Amino acid sequence: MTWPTVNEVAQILLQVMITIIIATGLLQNGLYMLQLWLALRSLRINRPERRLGLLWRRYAELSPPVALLLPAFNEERSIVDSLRSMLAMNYPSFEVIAINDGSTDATLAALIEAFELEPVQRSYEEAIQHQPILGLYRSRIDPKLLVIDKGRGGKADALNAGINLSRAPIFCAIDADSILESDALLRAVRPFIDEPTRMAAVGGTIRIANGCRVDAGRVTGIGLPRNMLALFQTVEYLRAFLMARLAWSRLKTLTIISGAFGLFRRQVVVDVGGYTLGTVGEDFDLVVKIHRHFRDRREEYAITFVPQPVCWTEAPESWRVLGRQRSRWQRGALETFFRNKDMLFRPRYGRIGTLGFGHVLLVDVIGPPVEVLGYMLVPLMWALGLLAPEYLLAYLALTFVYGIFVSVSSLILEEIELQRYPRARDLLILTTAAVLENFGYRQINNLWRVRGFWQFFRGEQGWGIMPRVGFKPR
Amino acid sequence: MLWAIWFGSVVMVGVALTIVVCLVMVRVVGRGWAAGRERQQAALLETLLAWLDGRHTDEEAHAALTVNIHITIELLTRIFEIVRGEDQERLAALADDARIPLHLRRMLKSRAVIQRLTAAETLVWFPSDETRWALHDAIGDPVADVSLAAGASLARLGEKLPMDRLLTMRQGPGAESSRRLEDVLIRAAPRQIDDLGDIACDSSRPGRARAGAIEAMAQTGTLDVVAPIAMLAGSLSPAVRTAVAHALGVLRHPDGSKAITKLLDDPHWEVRAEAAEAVGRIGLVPLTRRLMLLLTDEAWWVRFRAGESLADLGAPGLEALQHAATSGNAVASRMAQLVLAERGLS
Repeated sequence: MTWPTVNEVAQILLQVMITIIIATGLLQNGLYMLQLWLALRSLRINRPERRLGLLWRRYAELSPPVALLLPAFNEERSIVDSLRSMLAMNYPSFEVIAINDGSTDATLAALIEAFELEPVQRSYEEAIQHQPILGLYRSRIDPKLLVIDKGRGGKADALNAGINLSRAPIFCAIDADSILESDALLRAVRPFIDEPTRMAAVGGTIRIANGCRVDAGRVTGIGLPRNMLALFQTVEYLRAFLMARLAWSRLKTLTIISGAFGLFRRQVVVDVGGYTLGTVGEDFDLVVKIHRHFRDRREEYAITFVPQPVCWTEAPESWRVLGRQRSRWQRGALETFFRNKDMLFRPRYGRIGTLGFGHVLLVDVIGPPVEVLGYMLVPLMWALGLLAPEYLLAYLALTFVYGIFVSVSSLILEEIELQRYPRARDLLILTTAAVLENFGYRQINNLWRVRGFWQFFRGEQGWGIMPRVGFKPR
Repeated sequence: MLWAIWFGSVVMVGVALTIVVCLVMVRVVGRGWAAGRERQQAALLETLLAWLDGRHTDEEAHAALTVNIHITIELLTRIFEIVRGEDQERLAALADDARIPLHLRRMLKSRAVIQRLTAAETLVWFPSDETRWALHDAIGDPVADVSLAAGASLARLGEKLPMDRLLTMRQGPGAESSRRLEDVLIRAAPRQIDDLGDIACDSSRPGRARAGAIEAMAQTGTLDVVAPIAMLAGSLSPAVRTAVAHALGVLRHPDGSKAITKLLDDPHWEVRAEAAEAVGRIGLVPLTRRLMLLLTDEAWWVRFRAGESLADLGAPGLEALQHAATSGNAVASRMAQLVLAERGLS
């Protein structure tokens, strides 16, 4: 018997790796096709009602009270405008709870001055632990506003304090630097009207505010960013929300609701112990906890995504800041996945365990390192003449061409069903971005995600510095 | 297969980009079309306002309505949201002459959900036998929005609703608990109290449906319903007992006191909390001591509602709160202090 040579073994190994790379790409893209189809079906069935007057007539009297929770850390530049726009929401019954999470700048002072805050006492349920509350404040000019001043504990800790202080049956967690559209709550609360006992959480859409006209905390004109990076992120967000979230929601396997805009039934979140501290993926983690809670108890529940309510947020325009954000998101995904890995493929957790976590395994755990391996291996193998042309083309198709198809298709969904961007030119610009993002941007993204892996395995914590540009009036 | 992956991807991208180009063209053309539509609607609105003022004849207004039925229906839907009284009646009569209700009834059979929903909601302005029959049919619509809109319209027209059919159509996990269904029941309640009573007492129905019926009965404000609702305080369903406590609080009648007293000891905290709130709403001063005991309840919401109700009971309640605020029990004391502080009474 002759042993294979080192050369032959190396070739076999390379062949195996390239097969794995292509198989992973096929699976991922197959999943994206499925998501596209499901998202299209969902949008066709649930066409949005555009007229606010009609929405108000249908749902206002039936809408439950909502507490808007805004955790804020060093937001002195934008917090007043943000709160003013929140307080002007078109919603029948709500309160706004801003949580000053140990800011070192003048966030609290800005609030006290702008809203004529005065100290107040308020009874609250100490259902979830958090850092001590240093003071509670009520506004003399708007009784809907409550401000909590507390010791620094991080976003999850701040939200937990807000949950304790809130008395509404539903709360909406929103980032302090985000802008909620005035009808967003009315649209987002609908699943709670349709299924008040089953519905546990509802997610809305996040869109990129860069390039939009923003006046006094309101988006008064929708536009596209001039910055290329922000433009790529616009396409990404459309893909993530209009395609992926909608599809998973339709399959009843939604595993994440964005921390920038999500509605939750308060008692459910209290029952699962609130937001988990010490993780950067607290939004993903909370939704998984809710799934686990109900599945363990074999109780009926629902978590859904509604595409029409929109929250606008600022996207990073610098590579460095964006890279930090993406590495952090990857870390958060891995933290939650490995913390709950016992749910993977377990029959007890039904579709969440199979489809939901299976998707996370493929796209967030296996996907990035395999793709990066492909970036290194394929050109090398081609250069050494070890890669047959059909393999190369299949790889290029899966890495670049299908990616273009998926991104452009998300834009088509947006155009057919929602059409938020006012000009035809916007569609052309976004299409160009959808093509270009696959040549460089996507690859760098994967490198950031692999860095997230490295940070995760090293046990790194924290957000890093995320400087805000602030919404600039156009 | 590998070649197929490549060729397939190229074809798909080609198709997608072609669709985008078509959509851009549609946008460009559509902009003109949308602007035209807006102009037509503005012109129609002007004509109708002029007609209401007597500056246009019936024939002119009638002719304007029939130019574009879809625009007419869209405009009328908006107008009827804000116009009331005689003007609304006149407009409805004019639209009736222009056979708008016939178009709306046809829209109830449309494939587009949004069209069926608009029709179900708008037909309420055109009461007639044909409208009623069409809406009764629409209760069987597979889409909950449309079915419930039809039910709500029928209720507004003073029609008795087919309760069984309505509840059966909306069966399914959570469907019977819809707040919109409860809203329809509330609208139907003045004419169908007995039917709602039957639903409330029917232990084979889901608790949430029975709770909805109880809530609808309470919203009528009719004091005759106090006794039948109070009798359900012994139900095995926590949802029903919670609804009973809430309903008796809404009705604010002292005849509910016996049931409330019983519910204050319920094993479910939601029931106790509602019962505690009802004590304050009804003004049951004799239950002051029971509320004071609830200031030490294990559930915060029960303690909070008890504290609030004590504050609502006037002097006896406030005295009890002040006593609790200085009592040796830390839990009761804290709740009492905070309730008094929130009310500015400390």
